[in-house]
Amino acid sequence: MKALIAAEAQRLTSRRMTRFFPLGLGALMVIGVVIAILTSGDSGPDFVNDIASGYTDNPDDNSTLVLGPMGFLVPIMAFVIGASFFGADQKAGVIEHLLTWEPRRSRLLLGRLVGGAVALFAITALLSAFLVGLLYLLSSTTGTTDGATDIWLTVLGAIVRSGITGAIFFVLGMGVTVLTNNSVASIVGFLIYVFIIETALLAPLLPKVSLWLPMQNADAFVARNGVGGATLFRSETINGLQLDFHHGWVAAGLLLAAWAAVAFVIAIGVFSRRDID
Amino acid sequence: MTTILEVAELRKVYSRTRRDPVVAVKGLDLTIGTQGTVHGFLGPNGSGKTTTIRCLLGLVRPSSGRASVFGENSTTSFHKIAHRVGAIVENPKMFPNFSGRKNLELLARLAALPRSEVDRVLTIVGLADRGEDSFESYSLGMKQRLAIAGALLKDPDLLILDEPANGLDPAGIAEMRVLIRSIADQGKAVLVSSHQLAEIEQVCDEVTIISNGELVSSGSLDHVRSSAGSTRVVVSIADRTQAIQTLTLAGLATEALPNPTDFTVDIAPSDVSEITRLLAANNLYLEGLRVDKATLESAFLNLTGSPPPPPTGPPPAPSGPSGTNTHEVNQ
Repeated sequence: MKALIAAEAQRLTSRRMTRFFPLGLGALMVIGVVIAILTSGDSGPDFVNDIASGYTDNPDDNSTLVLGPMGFLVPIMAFVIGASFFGADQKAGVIEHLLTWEPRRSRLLLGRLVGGAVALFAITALLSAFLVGLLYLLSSTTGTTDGATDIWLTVLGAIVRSGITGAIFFVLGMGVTVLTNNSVASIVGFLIYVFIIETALLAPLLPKVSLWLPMQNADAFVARNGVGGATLFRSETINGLQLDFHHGWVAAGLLLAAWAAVAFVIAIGVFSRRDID
Repeated sequence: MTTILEVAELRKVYSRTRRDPVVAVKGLDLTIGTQGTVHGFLGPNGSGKTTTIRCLLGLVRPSSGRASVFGENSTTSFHKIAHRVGAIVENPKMFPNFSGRKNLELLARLAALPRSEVDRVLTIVGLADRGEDSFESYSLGMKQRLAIAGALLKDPDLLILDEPANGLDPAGIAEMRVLIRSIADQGKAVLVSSHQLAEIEQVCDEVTIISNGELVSSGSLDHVRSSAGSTRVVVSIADRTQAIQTLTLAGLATEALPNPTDFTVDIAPSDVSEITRLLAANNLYLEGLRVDKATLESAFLNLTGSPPPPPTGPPPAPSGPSGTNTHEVNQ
């Protein structure tokens, strides 16, 4: 099984899609930071207070500047990579060929999922670390990085959570594509879901439902925020601070993991019985 | 002794959305019981060859019937004998960004095989010098050879090759033929599905022909050739028009040839003498008569009622007029 996982991780990282997407995001980050540096005035950002403050121990501070966008971009990137990893290989007949070597389908799918998820964790974490580095550069160039050494652990936690989110959405993307048997349909469906169904329809119309959905929880998990507001759910006082949320970032992460587990189990069930042709 | 491969009453129906289901295989029976043989698996496009192979490899679930390899049900227990079976289904499927060697090394790792096996099979298929090149830079023939190298990695007891000659040039086809024969000569069984009928004929010991998902003929090459039921006779005679009229009236199929004295007659091999009797009875006397020895291609044509599928690679070298082998019959 170790050999299968390692081989699948290698195969995933060799794909153009897996290289293109993170490199594209990295390039966009560089462009954004360069523009910020060029347009910033004398009072540039303070890395600790302005950028990384969302990751300090102050739970009242909802600032998510460092990796905030990653909570949105990572799920899309990981889902697309997961969907294409299975869909393209299925279409090209690679899955069929691999099944002549490892006919136990659940084992093959598990190897693909675990190998791919590990690779996506690494890719996403590296990308997040790259963004942190760029923002640090921005602060050191145009602002200040005073006190930055005191918050590296919390920033590291955010990077790890970003990686976990990438792995989870990779599993979701692959699982959904196993069901649809069509990577394009999966990706288009997911984008419609993200931009229209969850964001534009469910969030405003059915807020109670949307609290359980993947994108909102991914955002909360990466940014270490709570999900939901006190007007709908509960208000708690922690460390003397008034907090309004439905569930916290840990629950959000567990919820994401549950979504991935459901997709994984259904995918294995379907894949095990499907004709490969 | 365990049967190498057995298909019994195999039936596969593909259901389709808003369309009638397609019956790809209709109660097919097929057995390969002897190691060291090459078994050709022939049929027109869409006859169910690849579906049958997929059933044998556990990729497709039969609607009914059974496909088994080395005594194990392919649908439920193929994993028990997968290490004994090397297979290529249709086109080569490797990872384009990896080198040929890297592709094989990944497969070898799955089966816990040493790297030396990769070198061995690359040498067998003549890719030892190109192993480091990326798969996407390979020609179709090289891809095909790499796929065969992958199938040979496990040193399988049964090799299943679906269209292995696709994309190969004539030299490559000849090499493939030698390779397949040498594998069988090592005591392994080979099932080879191909459109290259002339190639199949040169390398196979046994042949199975299917059409529309049903068995048409199976057995040794000679048996299948003779089971085609008719042979083609070339008649030379001065009064060709009269002779054709006489034989046509007797219910025989005739066809004039470019040479003004020649025409062909399709007739059962045992009834060839009937031609001379009919013509002599009408005071028509032969100048010559020769029987075209039935080839696999003509047998295929007769048995399936359709022309052989066009080869997807370069055509094989012609082996005689109209692709048939001929020999003279003493008058």
